[in-house]
Amino acid sequence: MMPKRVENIIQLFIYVFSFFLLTEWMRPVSELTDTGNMKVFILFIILSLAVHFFSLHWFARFVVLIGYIAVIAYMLYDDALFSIRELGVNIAYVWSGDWVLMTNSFRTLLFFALLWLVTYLIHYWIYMKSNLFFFFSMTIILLAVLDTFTIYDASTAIVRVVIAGVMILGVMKLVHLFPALSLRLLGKWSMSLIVMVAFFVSMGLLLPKPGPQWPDPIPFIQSFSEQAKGEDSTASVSKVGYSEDDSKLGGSIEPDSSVVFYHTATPDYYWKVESKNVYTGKGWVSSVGEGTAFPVANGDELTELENYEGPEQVAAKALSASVSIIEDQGHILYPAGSYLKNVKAEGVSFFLYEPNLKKLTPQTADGTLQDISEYIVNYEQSRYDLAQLRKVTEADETMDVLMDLYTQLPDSVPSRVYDLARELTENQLNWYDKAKAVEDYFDRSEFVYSKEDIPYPAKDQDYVDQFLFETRTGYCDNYSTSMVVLLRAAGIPARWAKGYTEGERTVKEGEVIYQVTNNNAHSWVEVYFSGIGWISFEPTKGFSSEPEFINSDRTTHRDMEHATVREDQAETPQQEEKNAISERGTNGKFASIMKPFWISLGIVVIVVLSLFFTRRKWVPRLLITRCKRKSICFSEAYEVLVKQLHRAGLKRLKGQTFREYAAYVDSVYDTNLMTELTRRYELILYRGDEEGEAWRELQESWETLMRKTSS
Amino acid sequence: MMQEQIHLKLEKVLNNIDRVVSGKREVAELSMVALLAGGHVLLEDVPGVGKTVLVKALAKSIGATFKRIQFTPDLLPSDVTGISVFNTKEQEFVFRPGPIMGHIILADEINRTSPKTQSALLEGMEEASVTIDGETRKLEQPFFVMATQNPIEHEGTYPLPEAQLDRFLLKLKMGYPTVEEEMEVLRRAGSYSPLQELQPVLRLEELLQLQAEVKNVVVDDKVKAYIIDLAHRTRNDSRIYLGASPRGSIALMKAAQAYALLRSRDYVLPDDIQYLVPFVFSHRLILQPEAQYSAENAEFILQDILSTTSVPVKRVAT
Repeated sequence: MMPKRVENIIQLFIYVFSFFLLTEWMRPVSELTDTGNMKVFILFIILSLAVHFFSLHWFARFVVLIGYIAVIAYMLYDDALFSIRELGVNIAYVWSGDWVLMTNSFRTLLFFALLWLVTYLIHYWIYMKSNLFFFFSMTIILLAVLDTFTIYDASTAIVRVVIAGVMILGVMKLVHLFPALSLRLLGKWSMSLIVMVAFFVSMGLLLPKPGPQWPDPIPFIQSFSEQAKGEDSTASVSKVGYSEDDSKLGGSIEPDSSVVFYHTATPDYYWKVESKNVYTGKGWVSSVGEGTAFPVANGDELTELENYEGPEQVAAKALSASVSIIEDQGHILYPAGSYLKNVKAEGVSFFLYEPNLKKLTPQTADGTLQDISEYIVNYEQSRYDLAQLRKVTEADETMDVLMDLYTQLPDSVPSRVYDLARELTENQLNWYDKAKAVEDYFDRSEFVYSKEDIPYPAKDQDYVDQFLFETRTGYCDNYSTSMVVLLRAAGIPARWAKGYTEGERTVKEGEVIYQVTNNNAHSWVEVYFSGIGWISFEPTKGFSSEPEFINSDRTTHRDMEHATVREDQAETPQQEEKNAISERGTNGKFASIMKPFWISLGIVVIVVLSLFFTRRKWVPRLLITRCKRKSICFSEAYEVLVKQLHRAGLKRLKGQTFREYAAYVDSVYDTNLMTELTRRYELILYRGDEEGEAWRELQESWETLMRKTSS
Repeated sequence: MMQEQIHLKLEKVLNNIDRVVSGKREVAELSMVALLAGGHVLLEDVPGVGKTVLVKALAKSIGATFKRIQFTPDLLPSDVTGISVFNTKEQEFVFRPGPIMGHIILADEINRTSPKTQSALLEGMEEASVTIDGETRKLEQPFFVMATQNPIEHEGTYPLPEAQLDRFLLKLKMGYPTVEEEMEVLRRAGSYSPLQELQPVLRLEELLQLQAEVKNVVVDDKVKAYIIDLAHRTRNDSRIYLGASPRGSIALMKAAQAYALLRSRDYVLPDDIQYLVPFVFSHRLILQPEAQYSAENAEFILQDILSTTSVPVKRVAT
């Protein structure tokens, strides 16, 4: 045994450095919470470590520490501190969960109790059990978490922690290596330890440090947690479909193949519900800047609905389509990019038109929302002249109000978005080509279409900026919003349109009917061209929809042909997308059936894996009970033990005899039990002895060793 | 005899030797093993490391007669075995026994003499008898030869053929003493020789009894299989030209039995085999030229074989 003095020095050493580790826990407390008078608590820690150090009688410890708390309490709260009544009231608060109501003095008392507990644990684990790992790793995790998520800066604290931790480990190792330790050796050891730690710490400080290898996880986690507590009660994954509230875009969406409506409109049109024009940095809200809502009688000409100006610029064809609503959402759907002439619906007194949203809602005579199941829309198919479009290069004087409304951007949009907009558009001369350039930008391979694992933007992050520069993965809302913002940043008026894609084409009783489901919910971009009107653009990857164009610069005939060809080309990806959507629909059903299966499979896998990885802990116990219950012979038990040692990582080499192996095992566990057992086993194995009473005699040693394998 | 008694007696012998030759415990033990197993030892080392003293001490400790033959190129077989001399007075041939007619014989620098003379000694070692003038004479028991061979000098030597090396149970090396041991050697050299007052601690009859006891040491079939496995591996190893013969396997088993007895056990452990393999097998192997040219030697290859051969640890299913 080592001399008492050396033992005391080592104990003091461990206590001092444990104290340093513990103060690292206290520092953030004083910095991040409103806990004052930290000195009082630090002093308490010193005191309670001291009572352990001097190994006072438990009663003396109690008196010293309670006395200290009483004195402090008297000094801090000077009235009679813990009256029974106050204590009772506070305990009631604790029980009822109203922790904020607890009085300060009671909190102080609890904090003292906590510290007392912690110092005892330090004394027990670090000094008695020589086990620093938990405390040390928890300290590091605490600092890492605090440094990451709070304003607390742990960059120096982590160095202090490592120094203290390595010093304790060094001394523990010394004690382990030399149970009979002399003062001289301790001195030598601690000198070299200090030199080594100093060397490595200074090396570590001097060496260059690479930047973070992973993207900062906080925005993701925060967006997740914001989502979780979400004011708009959307879960982290919402279902695809039409939603009125677009003020907080982002997050993943799940497929939903329920039918919304059927229509007969040809050719393939997107169906629009509304458009929004105020971008907040997180999503879209409608402005109130375009006049108040006004009624339009059922079947009346909707002249006020601007889709294009100057019909003379647009070759139009009158068309009509019937719409049958399955899932009534209280708004009229109409073909986008067309000139809507009128809407006819039975039982509807008038339609309310909201100019800021470009939205129609069916109303009863007394001005409440009218349920609607079927209606007919009359519209004109628009066909735009590319040559005319290309003439638009800047806003004219009549567009002042419109420019204000449709080039709005919040201050939250970072400058790199503007830079990107300039970069994309500076080589194009007119608005149309600029808009096309931005639209084409999203066709690049770094952009991926996905509805899964789409994060919400962080608290102070712009939705568009996140998509353009970080995730580059998303669905229509990401693409369309980004394109609108980029166009606006380039000074081109644009708005965000919402509705559905054309849906799935089926033929029913000789008639072409399109079925539109929630999976078809979509958003796209509308750009204003002076003298022509609003024209749709489709930035979303995998989708394509273009208004019909002619080019008056060439002969009309050829242009028509050209336009048809273009349409045909456009057909293919559209078709594919449709298939993809319907496939996704069936997948959704499948997924909902398989969900419980996957969850239970996941649980089983986790349980199996955790059992597998903790087998060192439970297998020995299982074996001990099993071997005890069964009448097992000694050599069987020995073989079980060898297998268990194998599991515990003590492998017998191929050419190693049991005797050598036993010596190795014993050196690891610091016993002589394995040798004892092996001697007996050798007799049975190599001499042919009978088992006899071997199991009864050696059971205890066997059990001890089995238990050691799990420690 | 009880295990403890045996152990005690052997321990006495070893202590006796230790008093004379310091720090050569292992060589002494292995010599003892060879003696108990009825085998002979080939000591391969440079002169002056205490071979003679060791053998003398061993001989004195068991009260056996000690003979020494210094082999030279002109030594004749009859110088070893003895010769019949005509006694003119009695008018008849009288046999004058040679140095082989003893219990413990040190055959110094055995490779210096002609094969003819060597074979005279080797015949005696193998058959425990010599034939002189057509008459076969039994050698006294115990009969223990410790032959030495200088590994450095090759000039004018007749290296022992492999077949004859096979007849030695063990090949040992003395090695130089450590600084402390050499200090002890110098200290002893200054004063009287402890060899002079060494007393026998084991009677010859007892030794013979022990030799009989060795044969009773249990060698489990698993251990026998292990021996055979090892021998087979030496025969199949690509680095070895000639592996251990069945006589080598027998030698290993016998040596292991003797060693077990020395360790006061009446059964052989794989540990014993592992310990003895280099001493029993190394002089019985002929390496491939490639292995000879590379740094590998027999001991190294044997260690390699040992570490890759699985030790019998499974009970036979009952």
